[in-house]
Amino acid sequence: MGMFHTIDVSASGLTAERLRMDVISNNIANVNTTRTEDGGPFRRQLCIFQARKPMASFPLMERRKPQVVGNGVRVTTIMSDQAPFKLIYDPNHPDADKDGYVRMPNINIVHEMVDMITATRAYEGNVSCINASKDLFNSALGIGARR
Amino acid sequence: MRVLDRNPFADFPAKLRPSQTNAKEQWFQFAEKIQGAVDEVDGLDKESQKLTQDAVLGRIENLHDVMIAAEKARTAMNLTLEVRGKVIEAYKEVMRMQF
Repeated sequence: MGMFHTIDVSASGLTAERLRMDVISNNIANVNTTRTEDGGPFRRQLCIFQARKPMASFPLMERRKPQVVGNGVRVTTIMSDQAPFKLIYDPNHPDADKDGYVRMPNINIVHEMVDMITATRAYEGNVSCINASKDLFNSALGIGARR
Repeated sequence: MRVLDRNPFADFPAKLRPSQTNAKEQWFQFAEKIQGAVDEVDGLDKESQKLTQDAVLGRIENLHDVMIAAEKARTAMNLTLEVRGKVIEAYKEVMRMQF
């Protein structure tokens, strides 16, 4: 647990939220995509976050208590949402089936917008955390300063 | 008020205990520690410079990594300056002594 542990933890949060933002943008971009390389329409993707394993802790504390501070977050996998596709009646569409229905991606644009806002706010929260710990450092450096 | 319920330096290995070494050894230990700290600060600064260069060349994935590296380098540098200020202050105080 070094001096910049807080910052490293928050940085992992920033990276994770940014990746989530990438995935959300990709979902929004593909909201009308009916063809993919695997065949069939685009499936909504979502990030799975996992807590990072805590590393070495402060040696004097460790002897007394085995509890350690975590080491941030990371994205383990990007999974695809297995919810059913939306069926839209559009007989002129080249990908329509024999009854005239087109299978559209299982993406709800409103849902994605809300996820985007939570990703933005979570990112901002991590930035605030970094700034707060930076302020702590700076006020610690002010200990004993002559005015 | 009891701040520490035991001496935190009690379990330190003998060679780190200042009372059992002479002044010269202590001085070398001190110099070594300062050198190590300065090297660490220099490492943080170099990392920050490298990331800034990558950012300018468009080779980075996360902008926040660049800013965090810069902030770490700046904080470490401030700490170094603060410690240097204190050392020089102590030196001046000794030099001002009159016999």
